[in-house]
Amino acid sequence: MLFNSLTFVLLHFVVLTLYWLSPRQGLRIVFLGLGSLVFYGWLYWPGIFFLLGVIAVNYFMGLQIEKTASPKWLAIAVSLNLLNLCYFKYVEFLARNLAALLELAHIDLAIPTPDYWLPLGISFITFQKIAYLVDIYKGQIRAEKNFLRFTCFAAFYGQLIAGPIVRSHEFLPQLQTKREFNVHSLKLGFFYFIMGVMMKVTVADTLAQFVEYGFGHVGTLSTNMAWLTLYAFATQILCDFWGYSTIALGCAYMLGIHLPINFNLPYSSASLTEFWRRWHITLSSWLRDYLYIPLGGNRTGRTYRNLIATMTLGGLWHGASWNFVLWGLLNGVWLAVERGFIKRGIVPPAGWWMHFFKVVLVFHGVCLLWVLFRAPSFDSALLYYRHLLLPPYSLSSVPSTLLTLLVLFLLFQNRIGSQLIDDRFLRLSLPKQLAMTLVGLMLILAYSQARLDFIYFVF
Amino acid sequence: MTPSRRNPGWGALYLLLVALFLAALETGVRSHEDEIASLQDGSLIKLQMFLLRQPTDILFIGTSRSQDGIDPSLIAGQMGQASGHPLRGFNAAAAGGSLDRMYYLADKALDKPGLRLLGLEVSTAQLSDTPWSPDFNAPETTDDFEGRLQHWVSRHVYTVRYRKTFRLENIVKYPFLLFPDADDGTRWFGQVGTRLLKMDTPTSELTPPPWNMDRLKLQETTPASQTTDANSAKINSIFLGISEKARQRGVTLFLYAPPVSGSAAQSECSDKNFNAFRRISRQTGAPLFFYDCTDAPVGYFSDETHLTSLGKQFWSTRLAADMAASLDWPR
Repeated sequence: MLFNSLTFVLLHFVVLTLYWLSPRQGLRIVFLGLGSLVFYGWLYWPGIFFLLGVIAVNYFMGLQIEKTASPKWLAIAVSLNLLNLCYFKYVEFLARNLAALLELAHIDLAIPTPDYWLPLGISFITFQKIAYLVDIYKGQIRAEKNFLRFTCFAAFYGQLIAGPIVRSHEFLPQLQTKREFNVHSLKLGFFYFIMGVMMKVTVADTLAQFVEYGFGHVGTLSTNMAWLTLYAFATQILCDFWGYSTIALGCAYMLGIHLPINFNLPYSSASLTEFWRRWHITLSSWLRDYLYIPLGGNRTGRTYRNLIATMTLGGLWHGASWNFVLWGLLNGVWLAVERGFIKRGIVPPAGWWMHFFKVVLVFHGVCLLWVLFRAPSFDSALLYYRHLLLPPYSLSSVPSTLLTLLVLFLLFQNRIGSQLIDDRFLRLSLPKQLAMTLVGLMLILAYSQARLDFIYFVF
Repeated sequence: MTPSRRNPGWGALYLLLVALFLAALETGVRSHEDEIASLQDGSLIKLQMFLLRQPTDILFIGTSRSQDGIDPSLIAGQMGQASGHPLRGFNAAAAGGSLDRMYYLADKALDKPGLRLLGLEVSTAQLSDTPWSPDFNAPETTDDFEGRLQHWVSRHVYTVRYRKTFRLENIVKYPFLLFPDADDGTRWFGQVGTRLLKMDTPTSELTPPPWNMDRLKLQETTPASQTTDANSAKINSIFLGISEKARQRGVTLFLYAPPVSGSAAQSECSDKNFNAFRRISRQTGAPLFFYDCTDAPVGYFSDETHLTSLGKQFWSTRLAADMAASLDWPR
């Protein structure tokens, strides 16, 4: 089910009503769990069995790990999750590459490539469960004994498909006690919901048409349109994913549940390190806690190797393609270079102008890396880079809608984005709150069109 | 949060005001449904302007060729001089064209009191059977639950049904409806050819080439009954419907084919078109003013089918003279 659909609005309204009318917490969890299963299975109902299977295995594994404190059980549990992920997401990629290798070696062997259903949000689901199991092993949390509560945590529709990747210690305690209805939470949730849908429907989906055309017709792009299409994609992917996360937070707030924020004005970053602290925050912290630090982090003298390895694997997590691997690798190299500069005390002079220059530089660097992320193939990415950077340079007329949206986003992203952190919105005066909400509502109304999937659904 | 804003009343007030705003918006849209709906389409907004205007004597309905080619004030001025009292004209032509659209506009326009002359463009585009419906916002009907839900909401919530009205590009059209008498349907609506191709030459820089509008190369050769247009039955029924309603309302109906140039003249200026238009004219009793085959010089056109402002002035003057000379209408 898509967040930006009327079906979801209806489902959420029903769950919200039943949730707050329920006299007992147990009943609330049942409604929340049922709503989540309907949400997940709406487009393909057998998916519910997949989800319940993953939940049951991890529930059992969590209990075993706590009972035995054995690294063997942790290894088995993590391996099962990774195998599940690999089977559904990477087998085809591996088969394709193996076939290519065999062809290079002139070995004529047909490798069957599986063609099956890819469970929605499998990467998010896997990462959340691994974090849960590792935290139990480390003794940081207790295994959840109540299966219903665990199901609700593992399947909560607010974060199920595309994050934020919520840790158990952030979520489970909120299910243990019955919460009182709070009109401010409802109001905050409503505002988040409106802003999230607005980002998705008005900005991301409108820009998607230009991005689709641009990356589909790279050979015809003039220099200025290549850059504008790239800016459009940078804005589209931010608003698509930030929009999803904001809707997720909004739904949770309405239910009196607090989820961690996932974005904090990432394009205002003055370094790539800062960018990754502001972009997909819950993934970055997951990679840090469950990959970078276990690899040795900063302690082993292999900081650079660990950074590059973490980001490369992070790239692969985004998709089964060499483009994503290269995208992750280059991010890792850039982070390592930044770390190297800092270690050697090479720091640029302070001042607002230098900060501004760094923000512009980092934004354009991130944009150039987005080409690998978006281009359908490596060859297509190279062609795109040629149109962006190499002569002959050419100019063409620019669609006014594209330009208007980009300028409006540039002008207002900080103003809107800064209200999407915790409960800052509630500190505004009532007229400002109303103005922002109503403008958001009108923009959704005016620009809603065909339903487009969220970009991160496939990850 | 300040202590005062922790009061649950603030949160409730916020939600109440949002709900009130939406309710007020819905009420507003419902009470001005036609005007709101018209903002999404060039021809509908012109129709609404016409309906909201002071009584108007002459109305033109057509495609972008008429939008760029007809100067209603000039024509009304000349006709007024001929009739001895001032007349008002309005150009409701807009880009695009189809039989359904023409019928919808003419049918609604004929309900307005005061109209005395109704001009309908006859051209390939205008007589096309392209599907057209004034209900642009009807969502695609899909079989899934979401499709049915969208359809239901769109049918019952007018704010959703006419949501495209709230787009920035449509909001700027509100003044058209607020001041419908300030425009005759041409000034606020730029020339199509000029906008698309930027080929309009400033009037002062152009020496008008000779244009003999009397020249007509075609003769009526095909008997009306032999016309084999696939949509001729629909054409007949629509034109007969309009002419019947015009007769009942005391409105004089006339047909006109705007001039074209270059290679467009080869397709428009054909025996088939000419005879089809003549047949409609004969069946409805509406005079036909036919300018498709006048060897119009390209200098009067921003592209082959759209007149420049000079071309508009030139042709509108001629059309007004022809109308004044041959139309039998209630003066």
